[in-house]
Amino acid sequence: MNFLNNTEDLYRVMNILGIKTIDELFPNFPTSNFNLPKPLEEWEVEDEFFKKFDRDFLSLIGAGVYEHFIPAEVWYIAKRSEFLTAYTPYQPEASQGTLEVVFKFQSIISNLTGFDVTNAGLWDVPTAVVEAIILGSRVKNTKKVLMPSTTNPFYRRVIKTHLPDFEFIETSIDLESGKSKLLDAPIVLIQNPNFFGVIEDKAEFDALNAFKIYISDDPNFLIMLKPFAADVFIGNSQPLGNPVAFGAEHAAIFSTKLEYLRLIPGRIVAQTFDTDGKIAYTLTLQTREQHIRKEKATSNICTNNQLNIIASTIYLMLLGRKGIEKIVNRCIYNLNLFKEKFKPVFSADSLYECVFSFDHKRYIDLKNEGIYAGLELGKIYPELDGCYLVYVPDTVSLDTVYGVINRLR
Amino acid sequence: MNLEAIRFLINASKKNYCIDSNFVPLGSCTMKYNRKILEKLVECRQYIKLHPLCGMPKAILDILLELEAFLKELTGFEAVSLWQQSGAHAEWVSMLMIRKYLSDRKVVLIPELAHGTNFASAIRAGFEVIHLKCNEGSIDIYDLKSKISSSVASIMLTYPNTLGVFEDNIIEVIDIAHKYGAIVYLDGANFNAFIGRFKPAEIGFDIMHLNLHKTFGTPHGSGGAGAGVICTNKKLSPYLPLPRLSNDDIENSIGYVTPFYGNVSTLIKAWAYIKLHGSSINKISELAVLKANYLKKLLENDFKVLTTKAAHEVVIEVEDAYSYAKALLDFGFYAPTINFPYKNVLMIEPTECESFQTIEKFVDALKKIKYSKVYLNNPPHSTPVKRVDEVFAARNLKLKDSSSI
Repeated sequence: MNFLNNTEDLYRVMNILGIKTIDELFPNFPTSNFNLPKPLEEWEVEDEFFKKFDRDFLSLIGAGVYEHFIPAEVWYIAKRSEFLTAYTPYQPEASQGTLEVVFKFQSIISNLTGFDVTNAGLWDVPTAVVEAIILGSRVKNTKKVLMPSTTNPFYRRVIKTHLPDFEFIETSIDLESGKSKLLDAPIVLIQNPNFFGVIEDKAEFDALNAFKIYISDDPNFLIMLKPFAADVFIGNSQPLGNPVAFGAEHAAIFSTKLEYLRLIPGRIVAQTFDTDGKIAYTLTLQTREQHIRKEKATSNICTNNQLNIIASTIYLMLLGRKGIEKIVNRCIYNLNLFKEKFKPVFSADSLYECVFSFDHKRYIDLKNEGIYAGLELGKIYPELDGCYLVYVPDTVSLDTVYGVINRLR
Repeated sequence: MNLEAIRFLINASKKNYCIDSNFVPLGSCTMKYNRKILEKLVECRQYIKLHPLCGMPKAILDILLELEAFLKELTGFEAVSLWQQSGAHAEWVSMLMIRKYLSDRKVVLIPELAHGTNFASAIRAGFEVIHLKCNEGSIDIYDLKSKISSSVASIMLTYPNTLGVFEDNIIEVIDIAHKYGAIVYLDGANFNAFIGRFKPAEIGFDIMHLNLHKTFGTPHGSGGAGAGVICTNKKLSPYLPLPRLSNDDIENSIGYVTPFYGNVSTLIKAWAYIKLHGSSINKISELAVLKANYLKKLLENDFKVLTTKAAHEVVIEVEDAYSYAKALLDFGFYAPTINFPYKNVLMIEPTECESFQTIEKFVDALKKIKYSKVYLNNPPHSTPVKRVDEVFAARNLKLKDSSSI
């Protein structure tokens, strides 16, 4: 597998080019000094890599990265050469595999969320929200955004970095219910359930007159929690078939109304026919994109996280509604075990994530053993010192859940 | 488990051309072979179960620090940000850094032949973009001199340029920009042309991005996940995004650009790629440039070659790039980049991986297409679908069917 060594024809080719050394093909800059180690064999790299990992740990944390069961088939299929080493599907005749699968993704998501149109995916939730805000700013001619503090804080800071010219109103948390405080603004975001796992008030959101952006951080639960009516739907594709992997394996779902179609970022796949009348798929409306419109493009995005979207599609197709139901019911059941023993800090209903107050010393003792019984909130929200945001994956055994609960009481 | 769905997916996959089955000579994309050992590492249980909010394990910190060190060594720059999702994201973030550093300057200069993301990224950061004229692919110095001023925050360059040439006047361009206090940005998409040979920081660039899914052999994945790493010198390092892996001065950082740690899987793969090559990494650019020059030699007698002195890619003019692209599919080749940076050109990048025989076969195919018009009779004919009706697609706009869960 070392391409740098197959040089049998090297001298023949250099002769044809009329050069004595390859140096002649390069500019005259002095060759720099590079301090690099000797090349390693594959097994040497493996050894070095695996040796670095020492201990196992248990994490009962979601907060944007949700562990779920992923059938082994998902990545066996997603990492087939044909998907893994394929280029972006600009030549449709040679990319029907990618295009068919992405079209399926667009279809499943549009039908699941109730939004007209879904694109091929964006980088991650916060940058997708940035795109939605930019879309809203074009539609409403505004730079003012309501972004409640109940929106994931790790997302909020990314959103603000990318939009330095925008004004963000970050309303405080309702410390009794845990819901967002909503007020009128031209662009409004809501994450539902919110960062604290609390289910938001549909009527209050519906009553707002604004460009609305709805964020679903774990779309598995869309089968039981229908999105509110909004202008843009942003979904986190990590919980759909992508491993936790230190937060690395993700993409964002972007769905919206048909009327905004020509303003939206990213690639879109359309169904069409070939010259034989056979059904075929292709990228469409590329005149929105940077490679054609440059400065006037709707976005600068080029590479998105397509393979993670493909994995999500495979996951959804293989599990179907029944398979997803099984997963979400387990998550809810596991969390209810906590709710039976600890009173939730917030009064409003929660679904798969909940804030509890634990004995800090017991939490730390567990943490020192590599067991994270929730995310410490005090560091991010001083008003929630002593509170922990808990998510229990469907992949955690009941024994383990009971074990942690007993250690905390 | 849905067997119908599995069959749909496997059969769909067989309709894709990919590096593992076809030569994918896309200029500026560096479609090199993706070694599977990179995948094996990030599939291990110890890694995939790690949650980013449980602290940074020493294993990950070690790898990321070593990756930073390698990238600094390869580029000559002082500081690195690993967190950006792609080249375009890295450009956007770099422009935000430059905006904070030179807050009273509103203009960015970009050669007219630059990649589309350069323009769009500068606009995203709130800059006004002015195009620089090019002569035979290289920046027109007189045009640059007429447009440079102290309102210019940055000039975004691609080197080698988008015609695949190591521009002769690059040092002069950099000097002119520096004379007016502008930041010189390098779009590192073409880094495969000189990796391990000379360091962009030593030539005078101030900041650059690298595409790990191009130069560093991480897979394209049908459109991503990639990673765009930013490398910069002392001028701009205070503005790099958070988190910072080294205990640097962070008070001038532009903030967070990723919720957690970017595409860590891609970062680990790039780390492993560099470990596999080590001090032989210079062979990559040697062979990439040699093979592009061989390609150029084989094309010269039959095609108008716009690349005067080839680095790692070659641009040729053809009567109709779109038709040539489709015809090449019938020969089992994925099409090169078409209509960039000019209309009716093909941009071909063999990379260091392709054999001389493959390059010869590719040129033979191009000649057959040129001289025997039969191949241009509404191709392609041998692909899983024939010529796709894109006009109908845009008019009909069927963007979903009834598939659901």
